Amino acid sequence: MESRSEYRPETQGVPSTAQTRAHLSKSFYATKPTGGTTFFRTFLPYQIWRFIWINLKMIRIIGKSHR
Amino acid sequence: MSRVVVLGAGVSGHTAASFARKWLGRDHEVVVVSPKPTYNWIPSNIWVGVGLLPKRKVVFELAPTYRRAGITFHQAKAKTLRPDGTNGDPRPFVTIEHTGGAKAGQSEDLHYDYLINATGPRLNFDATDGLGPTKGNSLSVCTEDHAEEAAKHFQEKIERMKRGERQRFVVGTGHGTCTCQGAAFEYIVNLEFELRHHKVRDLADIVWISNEYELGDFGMGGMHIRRGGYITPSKIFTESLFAERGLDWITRAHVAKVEKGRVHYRNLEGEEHETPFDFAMLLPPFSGVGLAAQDANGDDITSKVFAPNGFMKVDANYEAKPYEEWLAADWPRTYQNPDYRNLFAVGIAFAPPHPISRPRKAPDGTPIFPTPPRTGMPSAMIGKAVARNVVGMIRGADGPHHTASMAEMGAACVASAGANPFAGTAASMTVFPIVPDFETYPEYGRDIDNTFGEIGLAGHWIKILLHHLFLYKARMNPLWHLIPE
Repeated sequence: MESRSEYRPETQGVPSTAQTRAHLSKSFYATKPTGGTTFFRTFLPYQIWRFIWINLKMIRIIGKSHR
Repeated sequence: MSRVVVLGAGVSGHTAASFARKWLGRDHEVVVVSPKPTYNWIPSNIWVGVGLLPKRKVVFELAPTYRRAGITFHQAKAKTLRPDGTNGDPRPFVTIEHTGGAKAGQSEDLHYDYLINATGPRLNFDATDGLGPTKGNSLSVCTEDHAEEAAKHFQEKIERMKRGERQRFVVGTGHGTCTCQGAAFEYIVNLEFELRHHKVRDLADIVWISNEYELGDFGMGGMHIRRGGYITPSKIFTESLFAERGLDWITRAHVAKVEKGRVHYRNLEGEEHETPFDFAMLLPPFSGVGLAAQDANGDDITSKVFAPNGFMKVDANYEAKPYEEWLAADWPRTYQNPDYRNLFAVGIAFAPPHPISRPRKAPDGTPIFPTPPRTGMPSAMIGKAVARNVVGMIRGADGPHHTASMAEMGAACVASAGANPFAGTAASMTVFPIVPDFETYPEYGRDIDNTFGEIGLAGHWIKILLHHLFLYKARMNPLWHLIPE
């Protein structure tokens, strides 16, 4: 259970030997976002639309929760 | 004239007092008792803790706000509740001890017609040997002062890294029964974001440690979200975010001891481990604030009014039963004490009937599972519902009719994952209901159409918006009551 944070290929600057041991890390088995997914997270036109959509979604939840 | 006394000026108590004041005529009195002179918008403490905000941006003085609103304010802590009064005077009262101003140190009996207990928690750092910023070896962001201190240590670590030293950060929960994993989650991802901003991320090992069975539990048994053609548990999304950011994680852990530079923990298998750190931010478990209760004779009735953990009993089903038999209906709806109709508890101060996450124990009996969160939006909504009921009863209603069960209400939550107007992100989430209701929603316990989550820059903008809106509302500036909880 001891931490294995030294095996992190995705971290900038990690020694290249760690790259070969990526499969020993817990994060190896985790889902990771593609480049497109991470791009859209900060892509302004898309995020302006999400800002409106999320606010509407939250207002709906708030409305449903008041009694 | 009726007097409504609110103990505590956190999110729940302040909301209850504000609405009670607004809805009651000036011939009734609203009194707030809080040991601190300031209001703290706790969700933004995360940004204080990484040095992005000064402390003054998340607090304001309560006295001027309450003076303007017509609320009487005592800077004091509640010591003893006397719901039956005394043999000579049956009027209920609470004994308070002033903590500031000219009366500091003096005790006073404050009579009430209705009392709303919103004391919040005691930060029980003593539960773990060596935990906490005051006497221990770890940091916290639970209060604005704790967060400010964490920021100083964080800055010092950044300076070390700029000199080429490798540093190890451990963030999470400091005991097997902690709650508020969401706050620790926000802190670890903001910390990682700031290290990247300072261009020292490559010299940092960052480790999450928590009492959750799986990542993404957050004390509410996790959640399921429809995304990418699948109904996916929050574990997947949280692991993904951690893997993407290069964060390691230790789950199912009870932190038993924090030494200088070393965390000792026990896991659900009963194994003892330790992990080193240069910087540790570990949240404490919560308990009641230690308010006692006495009957008219002065005999102790604390166990009648409060649960063993110190939180006040309300209209919940406290019957002990196994996890498989837990029901949404066990959760309180009006937050009225079953023995005293003029006594209510809101926010963290009410005793939940049971956890939300499945309870688990290590072989030696050590409980290792999150206790239920009762903060943020539900906390404010409960405060508002109770204020409405108290006002209604003062006006002649036969009892509380407005409800705010956590098993019947949803919550919207925005968890910051990095603060920057163009590169920042936050996880925006809604759940409905907060406490899973497997009778109404047999498959996932929640309404999948109203339970969602996504990460992006829009969430960060919403987080900024909420910071300003809720501080505006808490200051009771014009039209404050139009801003939803």
